Amino acid sequence: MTPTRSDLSQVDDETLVAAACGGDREAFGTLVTRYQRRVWRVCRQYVGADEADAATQDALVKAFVRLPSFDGRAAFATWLTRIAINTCLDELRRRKREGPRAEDDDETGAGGLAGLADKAADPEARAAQRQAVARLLASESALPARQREIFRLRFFAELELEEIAAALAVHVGTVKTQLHRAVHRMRRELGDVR
Amino acid sequence: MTTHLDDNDLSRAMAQLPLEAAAADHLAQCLICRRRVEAFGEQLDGLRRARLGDEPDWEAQRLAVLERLPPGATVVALAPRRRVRLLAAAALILAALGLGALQLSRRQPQPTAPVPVERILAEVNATLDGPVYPGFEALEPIVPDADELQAVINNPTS
Repeated sequence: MTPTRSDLSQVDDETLVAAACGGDREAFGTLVTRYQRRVWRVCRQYVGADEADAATQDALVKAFVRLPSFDGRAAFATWLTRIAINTCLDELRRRKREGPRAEDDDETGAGGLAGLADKAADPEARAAQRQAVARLLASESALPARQREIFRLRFFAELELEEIAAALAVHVGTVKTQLHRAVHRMRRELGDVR
Repeated sequence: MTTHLDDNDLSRAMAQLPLEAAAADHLAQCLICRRRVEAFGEQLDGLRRARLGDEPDWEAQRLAVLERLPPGATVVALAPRRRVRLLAAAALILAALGLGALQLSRRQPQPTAPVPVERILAEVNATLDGPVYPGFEALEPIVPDADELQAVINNPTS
């Protein structure tokens, strides 16, 4: 009997990978459902809002093609995250070759800030909150590339420290150090450091 | 007088990194330090929401991915570790075969018992007396007959 989609949602990654390797698309579909948000959040940090969906699809298709090379040494999620990051870096290299584009700006514009679902009720408090976030955004954008990358993977893509270390092939101690420096630097920019 | 967390520890707490026991204890008890850490966290939440923006339609994305998958099973390529294991096994087999061949080539031929000359001669004679041994028939007579010899003697220039 063919397992249904809800049956497959209970199955562990390793079993789904083995089934997908044998051509079971429904098994791979379950892996997509499980990890597409994570992949999209990672891609969003590298290629921006407009390209994040396309990069996510590319990364997931690449993962399917490369499934037989998945040897289980790392968790499937980590392996997939690395594919997503490499896909985005390829895309960025391609863009660089083709020359800069106006929409390559990866920062959140005024529209993004205006769309914040503010908790504060009164307009004055909302404006203050937006201003604080805008200042934080500016300080985050000014971080050195590696610190910014790790900061975004931790706080926006919401990866664990160990996952970031594995995805970037660095020691977890390096991730901690860079993260600490990033936050300290941002606070200094914001005048929060005594 | 209360000593609050220093800037390094505050940054560490804001980065959600583990603190040393004393700093962690202080943070658990000090409202002022905790409020500073929480305020940074709230700003970070706002930035995250602003940065992520609208999420895509997940089901549509899932279907799009499945549609783009190449047909059939994925190409079965051996995983690197399996490939190395197979290569190692093949190398072992080759090494074993090579050693075996070396041993064989070094092995001396076994001495055989001498055969009496009389027996050899008897076998040769029997062969010669028998029918022509296949493969040894002369294609042309090697010695010319008497008429031919005489003709050559009479006319040496022919």
